[in-house]
Amino acid sequence: MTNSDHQHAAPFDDQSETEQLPEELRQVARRYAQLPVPRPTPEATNRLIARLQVSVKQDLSPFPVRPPRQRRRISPFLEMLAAVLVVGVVVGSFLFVLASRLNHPPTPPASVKEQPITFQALRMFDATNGWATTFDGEQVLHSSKGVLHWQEVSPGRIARSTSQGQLEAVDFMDALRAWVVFNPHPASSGPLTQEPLFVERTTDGGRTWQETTIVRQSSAFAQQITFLTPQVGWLLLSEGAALGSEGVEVLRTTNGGATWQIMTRTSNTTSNLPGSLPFAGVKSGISFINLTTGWITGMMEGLYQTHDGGTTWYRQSLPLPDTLPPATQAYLAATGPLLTFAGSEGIFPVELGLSDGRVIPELYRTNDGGQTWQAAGSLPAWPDAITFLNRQEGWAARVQQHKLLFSYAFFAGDYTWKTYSEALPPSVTQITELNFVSEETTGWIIGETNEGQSTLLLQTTDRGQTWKVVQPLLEAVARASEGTAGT
Amino acid sequence: MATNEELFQEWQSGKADALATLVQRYHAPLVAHFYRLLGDAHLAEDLAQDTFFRLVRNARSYRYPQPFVPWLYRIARNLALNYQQSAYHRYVDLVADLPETLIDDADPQAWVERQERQADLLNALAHLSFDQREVLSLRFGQELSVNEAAEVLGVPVGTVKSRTFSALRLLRTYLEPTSRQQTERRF
Repeated sequence: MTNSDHQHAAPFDDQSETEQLPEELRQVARRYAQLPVPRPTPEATNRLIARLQVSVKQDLSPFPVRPPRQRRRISPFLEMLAAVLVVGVVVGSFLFVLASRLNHPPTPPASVKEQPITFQALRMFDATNGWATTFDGEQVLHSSKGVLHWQEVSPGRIARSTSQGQLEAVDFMDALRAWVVFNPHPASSGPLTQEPLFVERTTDGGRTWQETTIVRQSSAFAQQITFLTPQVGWLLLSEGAALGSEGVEVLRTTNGGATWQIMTRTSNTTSNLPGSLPFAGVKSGISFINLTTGWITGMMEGLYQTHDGGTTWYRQSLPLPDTLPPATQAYLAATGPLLTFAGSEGIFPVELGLSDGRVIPELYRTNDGGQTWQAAGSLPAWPDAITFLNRQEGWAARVQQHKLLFSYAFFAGDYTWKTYSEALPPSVTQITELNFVSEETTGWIIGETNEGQSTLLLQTTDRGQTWKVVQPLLEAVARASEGTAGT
Repeated sequence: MATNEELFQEWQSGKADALATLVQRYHAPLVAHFYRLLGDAHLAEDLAQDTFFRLVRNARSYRYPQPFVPWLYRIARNLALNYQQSAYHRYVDLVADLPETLIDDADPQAWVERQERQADLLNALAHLSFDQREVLSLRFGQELSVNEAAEVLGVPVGTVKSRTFSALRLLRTYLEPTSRQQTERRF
């Protein structure tokens, strides 16, 4: 532990640029520089070196870098002849393609060879119809033949993208309607930018897409897009979480995503005003139970609730479970998705951190549109993923010591849970998606493998008692036509 | 002493020890940098390791005498941003994770005051944006020059200076009324 990040760094005060700062800011900078920081032990550094050397031998051969290939010299005449031929072929091909396009409408490209795919997100609406996105975040998939057979239906902008553009948020409402948010310049691909985001929407299963441009006020990324009805939806943009705080922006559409209005934006430079969302606290999601009432959840001091569609927000407390002494102090250590259902019903999984160090995973429910919440029993453990079909019936899943612990809940006064255990491939470290189909015994989970490097799809056909790995395949490419709209 | 650029070129040419020297030089600074950005000691250690693994995976894209340090910190920057955007890691309470400090002070009261000043500083940092925390860490934690910081951030030199100025001014604003947030919250 030391107050300097560099053992051999030059003295702080010698930096000429710093001397241009006013003295009071130099003092702040000096205090900042003296913040104690963790320092790895020499043993940790040596372990890292050893691991790197093993990694290089296993994964990175051949080394050293190959020298540039020597170009074989040919005669100038042949070079010129070759150049003329190449130019001729290129120009001829272009003219041929142009003529074909003018004489015939565009036709979909030929089917690609069937190939295995890995999922990032999956949403099945019944045994045959569903949506998915690929693990690399670059393809939107649609199926009408079950979970094993998929077609790419990416919007044109995404299909054409040659950069590291990413799908940042998706919402699949039914087998035909979907919204996806595409960021052509995600932060992971380079410096932060304020380039626009694009919301793509379809009402025909991805055959055609309409596009809306979202002009960003900052370098925020799309954390979530959610629609309550085919017309009304919300977009939660995040400026990134750190040190327990996160700036967010809430946008709303009332015309299916054609246009979006900013409803509110947190400020990190002013103190929190009544009716405003706090900058403090890490936000985990946004959810609405009707056109006006909704919540922003996360590691904050309680929930934040709106009654006007997202313009003003007020803190809402949750009552402590009756099993805890009345004077117990608790905070939200984690929150799951706040799930809402028709009939003013909602479910909210939270992890309560108690002042004595205990952490309790608890399920809350409401049946009055979220005016009041009641504790409805503990979860078996804090899950990797949780979902409910309705207020009566739900599932939760987590990975523990290479086993899938899969729990089924049924409500009868309180939620009672029944847990099944199933061996998993050792590479699976976390469950990221859990999807069950109404009135069916079939469900799916996506397991993250190899420290987040890939995913596996597992399927049950007996309500979660047993699971097996299945391999979805990409069958063919169906290119979409599209229109555009601006904000 | 060999420069960073010379060492990396040597490693590309097959000299394994050169990479070890670079890791010894930059392991601790990277851990400190990630800690200043994200406030979590364990996370900082993980991301520092990831940075070196990504460095060797991307080794072919390095061309001598391209400056090594800005390249290294650009990789670190992308990892930090990736982490921030990962939904699975959003539940870590970063403010609560102060680094362990040796209690070998002869004056316990002074030690307590120093701890409080650290907590104040971390809480004040929570009000800064990622960009602001990053420029402070690069300039005053890593002690990069303005030009090097500009290269890491992909912005003009003037932007680095103005961002540094606004970050320090905002930090000062939050440090003045020493209102320390409670790390434990009421429900």
